[in-house]
Amino acid sequence: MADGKRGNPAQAGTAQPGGMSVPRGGERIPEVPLAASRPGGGRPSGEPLQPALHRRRAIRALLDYARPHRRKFLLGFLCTFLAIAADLLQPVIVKTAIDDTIPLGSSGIPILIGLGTAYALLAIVGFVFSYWQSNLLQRAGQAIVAQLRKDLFRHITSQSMSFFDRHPIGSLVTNESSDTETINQFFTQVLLSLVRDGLMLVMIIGFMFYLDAELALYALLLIPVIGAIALLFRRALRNAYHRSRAQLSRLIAFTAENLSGMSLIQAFHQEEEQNRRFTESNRTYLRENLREVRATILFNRSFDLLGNAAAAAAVWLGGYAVLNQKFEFGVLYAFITYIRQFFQPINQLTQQWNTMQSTMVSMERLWRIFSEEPEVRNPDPETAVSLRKEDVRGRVDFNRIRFSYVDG
Amino acid sequence: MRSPLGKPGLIVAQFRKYGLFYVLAALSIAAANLIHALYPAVLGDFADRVDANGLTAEAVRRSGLELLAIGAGYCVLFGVGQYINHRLGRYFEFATRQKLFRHFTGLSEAYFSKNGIGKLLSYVMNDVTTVRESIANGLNQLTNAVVLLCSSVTIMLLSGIPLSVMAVSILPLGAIPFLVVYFGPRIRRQSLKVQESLAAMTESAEEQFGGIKVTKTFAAEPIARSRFGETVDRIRENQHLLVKLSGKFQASLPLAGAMALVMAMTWGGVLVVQGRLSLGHFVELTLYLRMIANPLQQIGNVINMVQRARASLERLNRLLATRPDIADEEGARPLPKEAASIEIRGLTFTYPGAGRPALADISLDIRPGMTVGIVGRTGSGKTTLAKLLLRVYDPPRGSVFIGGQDIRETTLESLRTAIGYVPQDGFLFSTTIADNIAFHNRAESRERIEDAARLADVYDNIAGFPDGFDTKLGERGLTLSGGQRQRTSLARGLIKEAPILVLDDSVSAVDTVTESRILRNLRRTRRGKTTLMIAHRISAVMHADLIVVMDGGRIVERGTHAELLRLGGHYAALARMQGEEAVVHG
Repeated sequence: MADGKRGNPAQAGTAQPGGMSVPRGGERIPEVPLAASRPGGGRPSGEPLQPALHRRRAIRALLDYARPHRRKFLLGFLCTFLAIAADLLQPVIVKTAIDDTIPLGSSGIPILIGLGTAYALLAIVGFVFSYWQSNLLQRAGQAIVAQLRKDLFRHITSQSMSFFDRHPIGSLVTNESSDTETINQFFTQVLLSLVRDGLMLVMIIGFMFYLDAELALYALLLIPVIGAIALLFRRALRNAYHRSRAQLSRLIAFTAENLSGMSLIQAFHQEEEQNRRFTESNRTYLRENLREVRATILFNRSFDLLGNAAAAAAVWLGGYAVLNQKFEFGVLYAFITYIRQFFQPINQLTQQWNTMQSTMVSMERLWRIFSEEPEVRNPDPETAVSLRKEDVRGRVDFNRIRFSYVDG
Repeated sequence: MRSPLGKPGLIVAQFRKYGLFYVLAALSIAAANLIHALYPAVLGDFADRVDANGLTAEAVRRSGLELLAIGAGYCVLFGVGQYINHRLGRYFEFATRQKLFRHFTGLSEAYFSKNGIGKLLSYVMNDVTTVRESIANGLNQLTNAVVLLCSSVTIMLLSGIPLSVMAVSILPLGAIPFLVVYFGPRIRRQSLKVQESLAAMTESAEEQFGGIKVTKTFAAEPIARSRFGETVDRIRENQHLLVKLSGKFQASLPLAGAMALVMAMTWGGVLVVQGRLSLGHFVELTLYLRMIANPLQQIGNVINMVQRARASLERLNRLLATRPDIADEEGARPLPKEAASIEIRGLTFTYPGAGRPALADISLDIRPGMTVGIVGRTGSGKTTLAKLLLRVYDPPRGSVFIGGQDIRETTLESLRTAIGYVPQDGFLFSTTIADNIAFHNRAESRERIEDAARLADVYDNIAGFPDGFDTKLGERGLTLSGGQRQRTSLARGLIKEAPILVLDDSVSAVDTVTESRILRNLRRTRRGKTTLMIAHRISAVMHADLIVVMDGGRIVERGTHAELLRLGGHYAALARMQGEEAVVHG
């Protein structure tokens, strides 16, 4: 739907920690020099290290954090399997009822009731496991991110003062809050979706092959088509989203500034002129919004259309198979249901692509901070001496010290 | 929904304006769902033919084409309806923001200082968006859900599926809207808590990183770490509670669907076996159950959305109904042409909500062409006097006259056109420097802008920037120093060449050499025009025709520089404090 904004969690994550800042006085110093300190789209600014290498190290670091939670993840995946099984088995069960049980006549009634009871139990099991699964994965993700946040804080606070000259406080705060939040979203959304939707897709395909290999092969042809459409549209959607966000922040900035300077506007009797400028900005925002609405609706509806066309094709092809008694109607019924379920996970998976990319960028940024060694630190343990309080007499000797803030 | 003023509320206005389009959107979505509701019927029909061995190649082809047509018709019609609603929603947002901004331009400083800019901004952003979403999405989902539900149930009834089977099967689904209404607000509240704890952590990081030098000198890192760690753990706790809630909610929706299917399959299956229900209808029933789970969820969503939007809408309507407290009175007249005399008679003024008057019994007679200096300590009432002249706050009736006319009976436009104003804080907007200087009339010629900059002694600075007068200020542009800002603001006041000029401590941030240059320029250009100079520094006012010394909201001394020095009172003390140099110069 055009309604859902959740496709872009990365953007929500980069929102400034203080929320909207209201400028006092004419100029505003941006709190966080975003553009300056953040290399866009994984392009490190002036870094001699190849981005690919950086990226690989970043991923390895992330995996290191995940390692202690292996068991939780494994259990979570297992739960996912059981959680979606109930939903996916539904068409097969109805198919069994249609093809095998109902034709038995009145002797089939106990089997029918048994089938119903079994399915009810499966659904309850699915309910429990689906709850456990989200709990387990979220808990693991939360633990990782909490650890990451604490480690990062410890790392930053143990740096020498020169580090704080090189890194503006604002960008460090962004690292500490926004970047870690993006990684949080990786664990709670991307990973969950990869596991859940990936498994769903695999299981649907499996069921399709179980029902009829030939029809299933035709359905497989759809995957690249769906994927391509989804990725293509996603780019346009993201583009439209970015543009409308950028215009929105311009509109907010304009409004905030004009509210602060309202008495000046009134004193100069410039209400009309400022109103005209606001209208201009507001209208641009409207235009960008409409572009976004169009892109979203076009995407969702064409995706729907493809799904419906696929189901119609399945009826056509499968109908002939039923006609030639290649398989029974129940198979066709299940197949149609599956093919309509087929699109959801693919759509979900492509939605994660953006989050995935921003996670990489965030991880790289964090990794760069983590790889900085403090310049002032404790000497090696064997030579380290602790000052005893009673020995300190308050005398400090400076012996021919030369010091400069910058090297050389 | 009428606001207290009797003007129609925002929603009413929107529907009145676009009613026809809303009907069109509703019809379009309704048609889409009527078509969509036929989908299971086609498959049910197909199943019956299979069952009766009446399936032909022709029938297969027709079913396929029918399904394709249904799918295409649904997508197109629904897309159109959805687009209309969303588009109208964006129009609503646009129009409401327009209204809000226009409304803000009429509100006084008193209102802004009472309400805070952050709060007003959230009206413009959050409340408007919440209402828009609930209109656009709410209408889409409501139309969708109601039509699909009704048509599905109707088709099922018409095709002879027994009411009892239907009722029992749909019953578990009936829980869905209640689940949504129960969990929706709770999940929302909890996720707000997560956001808050995230903000708390950000704030803590900001604080700790900002004070890192102090932390390091006192070797207090462990304390800092444990404090920060607490904020991290709080996020985790809140997030955990959120997961518990949303996990239950997300798992319970499919459960309700599965239970509905269990009912349909067992009872319906038994009926088929007994020959009381055709196989086709059995198929239809299971497909419809899958189809109506979604609209039931949407109904719950709509209820939640409307609840949220109602509070926002009330806030917006209330805000738009506030009457500007400073406005033209009935029968207000413009100022007489070239009015330049100011007369203040027994003016006493108290800020709204303040206990003590800020000005008490002020009387002052300023003839056209005079330059009057006003000095006094911070809080002595100098700026208040300037604000009352401009009617930033309204002075009492019969206390302030310009050109012999009570300013309360004067139109705001003519009053504010007659007075040039240079405020204390040198507030500039995030546009170009030229645009800022030409603020009173953006069409001013470049020469006049440059002249004004020269008078304010800021020309050289500006010309030195790479983009000169086209340099952008503010967030994405250049930051001026305090002194440059003040002088630019001064240029903005001077270019207006108004009959009356009020300078509120306008050269406080520039050095004395520059100040004396600016003052010389002022004396030259303001010859024959009324100028009111408010200042801290004696050097800024000593050439004035009349100097007024204020203290505690009263005029305590008045006279020329020489007279006041002789008097040996406040002014003389101030002069001594600010250094002999200034006095000697005089």
